[in-house]
Amino acid sequence: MRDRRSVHPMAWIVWATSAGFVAFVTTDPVYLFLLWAVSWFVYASHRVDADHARSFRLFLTGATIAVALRTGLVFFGTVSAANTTFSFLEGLRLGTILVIFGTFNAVTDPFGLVRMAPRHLHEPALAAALALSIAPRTVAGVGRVREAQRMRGIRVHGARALPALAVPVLERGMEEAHTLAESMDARGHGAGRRSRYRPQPWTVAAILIAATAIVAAATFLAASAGGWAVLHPQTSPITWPEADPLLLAAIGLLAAPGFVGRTRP
Amino acid sequence: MSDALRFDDVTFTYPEGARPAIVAVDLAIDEGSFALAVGPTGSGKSTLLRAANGLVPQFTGGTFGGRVSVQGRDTLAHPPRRLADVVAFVPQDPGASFVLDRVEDELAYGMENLGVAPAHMRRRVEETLDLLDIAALRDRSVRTLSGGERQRVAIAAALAAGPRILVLDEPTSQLDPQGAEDVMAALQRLVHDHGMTVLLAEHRLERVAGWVDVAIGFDRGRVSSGTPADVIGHLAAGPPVTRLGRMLGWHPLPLTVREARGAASAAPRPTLPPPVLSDTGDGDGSVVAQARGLRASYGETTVLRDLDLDLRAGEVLAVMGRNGAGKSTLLRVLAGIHAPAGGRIRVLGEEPRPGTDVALCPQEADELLFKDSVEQEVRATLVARGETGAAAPWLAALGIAGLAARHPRDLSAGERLLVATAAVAATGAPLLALDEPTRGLDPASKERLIGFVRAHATAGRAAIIATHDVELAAAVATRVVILAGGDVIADGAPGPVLGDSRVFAPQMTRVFGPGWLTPEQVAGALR
Amino acid sequence: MGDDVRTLAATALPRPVAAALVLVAALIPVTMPAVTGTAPACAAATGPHAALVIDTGTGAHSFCIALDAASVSGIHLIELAGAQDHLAYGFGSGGQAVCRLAGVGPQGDDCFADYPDYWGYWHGDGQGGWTWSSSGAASTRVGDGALDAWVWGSGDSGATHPKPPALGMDDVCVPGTVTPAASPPGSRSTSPPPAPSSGVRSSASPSSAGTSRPSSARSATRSSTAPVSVAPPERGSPTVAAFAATQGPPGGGGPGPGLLVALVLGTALAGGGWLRLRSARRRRSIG
Repeated sequence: MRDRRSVHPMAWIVWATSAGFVAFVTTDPVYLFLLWAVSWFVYASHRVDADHARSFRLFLTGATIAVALRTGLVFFGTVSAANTTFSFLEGLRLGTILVIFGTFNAVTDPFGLVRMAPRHLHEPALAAALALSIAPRTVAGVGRVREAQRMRGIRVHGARALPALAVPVLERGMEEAHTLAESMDARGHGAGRRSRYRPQPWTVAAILIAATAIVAAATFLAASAGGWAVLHPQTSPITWPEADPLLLAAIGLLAAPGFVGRTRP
Repeated sequence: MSDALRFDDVTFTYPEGARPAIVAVDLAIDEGSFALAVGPTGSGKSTLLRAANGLVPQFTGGTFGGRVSVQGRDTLAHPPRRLADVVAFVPQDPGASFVLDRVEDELAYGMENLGVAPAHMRRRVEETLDLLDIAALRDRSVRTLSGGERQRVAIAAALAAGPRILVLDEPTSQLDPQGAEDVMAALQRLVHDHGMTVLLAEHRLERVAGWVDVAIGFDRGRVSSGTPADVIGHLAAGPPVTRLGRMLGWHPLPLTVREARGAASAAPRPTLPPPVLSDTGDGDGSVVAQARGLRASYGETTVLRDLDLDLRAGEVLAVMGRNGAGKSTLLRVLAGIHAPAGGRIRVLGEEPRPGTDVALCPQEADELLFKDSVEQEVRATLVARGETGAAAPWLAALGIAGLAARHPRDLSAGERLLVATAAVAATGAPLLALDEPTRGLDPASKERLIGFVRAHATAGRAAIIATHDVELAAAVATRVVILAGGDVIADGAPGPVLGDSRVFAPQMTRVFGPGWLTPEQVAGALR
Repeated sequence: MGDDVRTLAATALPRPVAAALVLVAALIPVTMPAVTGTAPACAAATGPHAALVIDTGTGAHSFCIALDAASVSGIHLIELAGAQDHLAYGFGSGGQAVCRLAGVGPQGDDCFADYPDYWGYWHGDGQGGWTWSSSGAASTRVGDGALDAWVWGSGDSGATHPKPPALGMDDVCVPGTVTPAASPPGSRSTSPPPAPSSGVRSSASPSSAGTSRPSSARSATRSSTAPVSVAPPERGSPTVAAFAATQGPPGGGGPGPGLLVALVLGTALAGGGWLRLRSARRRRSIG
């Protein structure tokens, strides 16, 4: 994935940070839902493989749950259309950030990022990358174990059958993690001396992605500081949300990765 | 020549071990040797291999006595990462040991850790890519590689850092015969042309016996080393040609097909043509499973296209083919857990019901095991099926009655596979399916498995095994099917099908001609 | 191949040049408002109108009020805002001083009960500049085109008290679109008025009952959850009135065309993504 033509991981970091910032400064559902669409489009254009695709779906599900949960919190106070809408928008913002991160996770190779981390951040970055990579593998493992147990007539439903699912999955996950750690140790990881094999070059595509993302974020920053657009629609009373054309265009810029830097054969 | 690896009175017990894994090992492996560690699973091979690069005891913990020196460096004084420049280790499952995504990056990883200069790294990576003939794979993601490619990339990654010693744990267990041969040839090139020292552990001696020049035999933690002929000759199990030689009293015992041909030319040739078996003779020939125009995909690739197959009662069908030919997919479709994209699949006239009509033992036995004892494992199946019988008969059928009270995860890989087979067979399903039962399968477990499968394929039942172990197919199958390009390209009795294939021919066929499958068969005809 | 050329270009492009390009790109949205400049002076709307701006400290609301006389007092302007746009208010000192606006401020008769915070009174010059009022609301006359602002905060004079946001008359009253009857709540685009619910709010609610005029009215509403600091005292940044002019059709309720554009854009992106996934799937079939 990290070949000469693929997008520099830093460009993706810039993209994700910019998109995340945009989601952070607004609760306008128009912009937020558009960000979902943008994230989906970028993911579809750049996703790495089946494992990452699966993890993106996980993030999508997680984001939806986050929205639902946050909206549900309204029931702890006075319930009104306005309050519900407010809660929903707050949840939507959180969900949007999750989806953006899901896209980021699906298009980058966490270990590639680790190698770019500065020396003193290497260990925590590696731990994070390992954690990120084990999750999709565990998910795959769950599917296989469930299948295997079906073969014996053990249907894994409900809490009673949990050991039949959990034990093999966890054991396998631990074994794989163990093998990986063992392998890294044997290959000299953490020996102190480090050098870098070919560093990833910045392609025009990567520059474009980073630049458009920065412009998008800057536009929203200007809107937020300059007050020339409504970033938080009124919820009491409930009003139709804004759709400023300049801000729409800024979000559209965040979809730029969908058109550049694609390395599909 | 100096010692590349030296073991002085080494004894080691794992942290939770009841007994030492290796005992009083005194061993010296010269530089430039090609060494083979051989012995039953659980006899200490893996432990010794890991002691050779310091993973034992620095990574595993445990009680360690004695001294291991690698190119003169004491493994107790140097942690594994400080030995990474002289010794490299390739574990059994290379897929789980890849750190990075791209092949080229994976090769450079070890050197990055050692702080090698970038220009030097680039040169080394290019050389290693050429050495293992994987230059075309350099930009590929390791996840997209086939088993054989993965194995070669793992070896390349270990080599690129420039170690003098290479240690490999069952490097051909997941490879088809062609892939295995490629790997062994590459290793031999490293030894002969580059003076490297290679130490590997392997069960399937027919694949490696002819390549190595020193063998280390393991027996319950104790080792004895010598020439391959000496060590392997003393083993109960060995490659088929060796077993035949022992049965016929040949001296010296042949280790390779070539040696066997030499010995056989001096002996009388078998005169009777071999019988052509197509079933065990106990079945009534009724159709157990049927596939018509079957189309199936694995992930996003189509692996089976327009496949027709009939499986009759009494048959033991071996499904063979290269890695990725669709063997596992076929079994999973038969088992009813994988929906075909097109065509029809019927087991006993119906859509297959997993666990009822078909019992499939997965490639990873560990995916099934979750109970605390072997007996409970089998009982779990019986309980789930609503049956009240005891687990004992199933354990006895697989020869593991003695393990009834043991915790499955304490057993060797081969024993675990037998437990999984018992757990799956206890469903009582008429069609038994085994998916590539090869990893870690030691000869003793293989024998028990063969016996069980043959016994199963009687009285209206059948068995189907996906495998690339030619000797296993030769020993157990009554019919062989070869898959390639998503379709069946050969289907018939093992004699003609295996005899016709250059890749899948068993050793007996290579020595005596088509139709000769097992040493027992040949010995019987010659006596 | 195209990709090789791009890579060559990338390596040929030195880092500083690339960084400079990015920096220039980032400055565009910040400078654009200045480029577009301010809008021309507002033409007279039908009948006398005055603008009222209420800045509670956490949010600002502006109202375009149709006057029922040639000139009214500052107090009466607030009453008209209450009648036309449901602005919540409370007077003290016998109806002569402004205590409470949009739910902020002390209840009762003493308008300085929350001292040092109180409602400061400003008059606007129509172009965004403001002057501290020298007389009270009761004695100030407000006529056609006048701009009044009330700002909650502390500070005893115009030098220390927080100033209103920089709004001009045309930000509040768009020419030819104002009808007192159509008083939709909400900020920029028009919306269905849930009239009963737009009554008096609890304190510190930024979305008060007040409304601004349809479409292009710049209420500069900010919810309390905005991460950027709200209502800075001095804001000399030029207004982006040009964008106001480009906003959707005046009057009417319901969503603006921006929403339609967003819908089309979102559908295009979702569909594009789905197509991309499908074609990738097909390409992966074994050959």
